[in-house]
Amino acid sequence: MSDPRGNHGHRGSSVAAYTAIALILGAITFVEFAVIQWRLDWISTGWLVFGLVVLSVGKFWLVVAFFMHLKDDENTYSGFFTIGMVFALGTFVALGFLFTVGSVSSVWAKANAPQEIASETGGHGAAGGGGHGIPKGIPEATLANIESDGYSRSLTVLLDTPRPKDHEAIQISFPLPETGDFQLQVASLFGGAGVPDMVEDTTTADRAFAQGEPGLSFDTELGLETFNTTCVACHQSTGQGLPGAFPPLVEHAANLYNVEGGRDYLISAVLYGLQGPVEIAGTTYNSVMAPWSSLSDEQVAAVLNYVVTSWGNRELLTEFTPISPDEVAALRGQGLSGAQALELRPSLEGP
Amino acid sequence: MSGSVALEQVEHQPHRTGLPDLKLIMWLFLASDCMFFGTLIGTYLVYQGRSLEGPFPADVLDIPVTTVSSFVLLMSSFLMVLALHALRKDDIPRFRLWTFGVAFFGSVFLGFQVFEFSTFALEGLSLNQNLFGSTFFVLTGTHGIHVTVGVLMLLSILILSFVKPMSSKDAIFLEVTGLYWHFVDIVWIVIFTVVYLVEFA
Ligand code: HEC
Repeated sequence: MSDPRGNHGHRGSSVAAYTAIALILGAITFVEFAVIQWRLDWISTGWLVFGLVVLSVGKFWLVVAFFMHLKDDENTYSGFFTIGMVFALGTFVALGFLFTVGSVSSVWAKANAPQEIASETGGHGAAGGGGHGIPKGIPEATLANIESDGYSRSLTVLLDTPRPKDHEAIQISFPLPETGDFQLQVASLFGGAGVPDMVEDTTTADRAFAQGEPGLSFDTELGLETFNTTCVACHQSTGQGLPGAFPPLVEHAANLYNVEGGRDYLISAVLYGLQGPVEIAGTTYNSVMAPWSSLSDEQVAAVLNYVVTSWGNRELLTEFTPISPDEVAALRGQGLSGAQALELRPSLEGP
Repeated sequence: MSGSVALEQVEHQPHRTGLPDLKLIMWLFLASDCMFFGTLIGTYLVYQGRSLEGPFPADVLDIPVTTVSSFVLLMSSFLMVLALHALRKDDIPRFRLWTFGVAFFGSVFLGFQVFEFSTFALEGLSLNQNLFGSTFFVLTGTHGIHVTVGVLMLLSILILSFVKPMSSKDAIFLEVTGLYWHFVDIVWIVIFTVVYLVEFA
């Protein structure tokens, strides 16, 4: 690579070497383009970013070392350049630190001011949670959604940032006292600041569920309890099931409930179990769910009401009249097999 | 005339460092420019993904087009070393050809940038539209100004070579300009990755 000629005593590189470097640089640029243009699904974002950084550091080094001759030139130059780079990186790190730590600490400050909500509003069981206020220190986030799940009255707040990537990252869930003025509690979470409009709707619905308004009431406590003793092992406390083995009920059970024959199918599924192939949310399950006829009519009704109103199911309900113990009683004693119960399954358009 | 004599003396008198002053100064400048761009890129990163309104990076950035312009800039660096190589060998015609090539490729890169900026503007991105707009334009704009200065330096050398005969003895001027040019290129290498590629990773 070294060239004996060189007017200023330079150990310059030959044209051939330069050309080789240029080709490598071009090739790296093409690779960078290719991995982004034909994004391969199996490469995770983390690794891709890592790879891209490695490639660019490679290009950087090639240019600095060979085109700028730093590799063979006086150490003084490299010294200067290194110092410059170090300062640049230092600025980088400092900036990043300043900003991220700033917002993290404000989240912390908020999170460490617990219990306020419970005591302020006179609620009793802030269900082991401690109130976590909505961090005000995230100016770039706006409130996207508030959900509450009828039973535990916890709020899930999605802080919306414009990019969907970040959207998922900022999701805060915190419990509310089970009794007390819902609106007031939510307001105190926002530090008394304006409560977003959407809270109104959820509040009304939430009250209806939690305080047993006529026509909407069911025994939420019994429902949760039954679910947690009977169904949770398979369908999981989140209702997500286990992929491939136990189907999800999340954003799904309500769809069964909505269609004609759905109520009866749900009741039969619990009373007689299920057996056979069924496609749920895009996955085919061919498995067995045990019959739960040992549960009382009240328990079956409550657990199903709980399921169809939890984990985002409620938003999917077109109408809700709780399943009554009488309905369950009416379907008992038919001696159906799991396969026969599955035949009752109405066909769904959605998941 | 006396000015040029003085310059000559400055140029060829060894100093305590034993290194040519001009080159030393350029490296010092580059080191400080490093910090400058470090701050700009750092600022871009800090505000990355914090724009509340569009257009967002993913809406406007064009990877194929920018890949081509990045490639053009990389190749200009290649021509730069060829130009220096030719001048050191007193191969004046080649030196002129390659120097012109560098300036030309640099201008092509700038053309791409003008095209890019105007498309972004049409899509509603401006310096004060959102955080992305301000950080992006300041960063890439500053880089564009660096490229422009580089092109002007190269063209001056090219014109000078016709006015006053140049030889391998003058290589130091081209070498220092080359350092500047390569530096501008490596800054773009970083920008291309950080601003463009990573956005779509
Ligand atoms: C032993 C694990 C298990 C338990 C416990 C269990 N399930 Fe299931 N569940 C399944 C499996 C497996 C399926 C799918 C059956 C198939 O493949 O045909 C299913 C299906 C269902 C379905 C039908 C979904 C559809 O789209 O058709 C409902 C509703 C359901 N379960 C509710 C419950 C409820 C309510 C309980 C508690 C009373 C419960 N499950 C307990 C394993 C279980």
